[in-house]
Amino acid sequence: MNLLPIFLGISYLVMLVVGIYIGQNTPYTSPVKYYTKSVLQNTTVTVVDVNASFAFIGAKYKTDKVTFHHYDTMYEKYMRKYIGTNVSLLEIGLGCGMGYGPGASAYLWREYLGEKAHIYFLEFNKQCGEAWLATHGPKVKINTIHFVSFIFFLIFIVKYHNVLWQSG
Amino acid sequence: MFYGSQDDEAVLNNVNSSQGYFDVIVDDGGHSMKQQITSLVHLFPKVRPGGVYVIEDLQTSYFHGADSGYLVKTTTIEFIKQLIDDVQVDSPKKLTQIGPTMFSFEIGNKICFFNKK
Repeated sequence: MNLLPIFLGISYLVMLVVGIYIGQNTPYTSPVKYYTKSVLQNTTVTVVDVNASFAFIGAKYKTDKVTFHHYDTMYEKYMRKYIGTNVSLLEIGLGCGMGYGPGASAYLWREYLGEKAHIYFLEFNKQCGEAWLATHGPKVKINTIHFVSFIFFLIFIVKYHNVLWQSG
Repeated sequence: MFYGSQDDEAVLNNVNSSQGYFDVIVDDGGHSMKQQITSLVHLFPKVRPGGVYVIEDLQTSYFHGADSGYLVKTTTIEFIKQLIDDVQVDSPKKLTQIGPTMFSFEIGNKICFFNKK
């Protein structure tokens, strides 16, 4: 009797169980720790509330900025100073076509930056953008096109409508 | 909301905030070489002094494609390498339009933050 297939099968199962065990026990060490617990003594550096950190809010809305790519450490560094301000922010890509659906980062920016922030998006898929805006826009308060820009936009549509709707 | 393609100059020229500038621009769009570079070149001038422009998902520069791949001249990563020279005032030749208006940039795994002068 050839025991090799059984041996390989058991080996595979053992590796799978060990892999799952190791994977479960090594969670992603969130950089939130760096911002909530300073190693410096007698520092006046303001410490970020965990619940208000980019990593925490990003994870809450499941944006890949935090979950998959781990951009949060650098975003925290550059964006913290804008919290609570009337910062003007533009993001290219609302997230139409993403597995977790559009708008994750819109919610992230609004909660992270606060009520005063001006948040804009440039999105290629107008149908998806409009549908999202209709249901989520009032909640997230995404800035709509202002008047002057709207006139340019109308001129632009008349001139480039074929380019806009048909190609990338 | 603005609608249109991020590698279309006409679309990008129409993207303006009611404040007249942007403090922060984040490119998390289509991630192709042309999209990333065109958006950076045309939207970086709209960043306020002291503001920041961010490109996410730079790993696409290493994907095998018509204009991408390791050390392929047309990639966004290679464009950023040119900026190393261009942010230096004493560099004799400017390779990019935006280099002279850039104070610094910080690059990490798959992401880059460009700081406006």
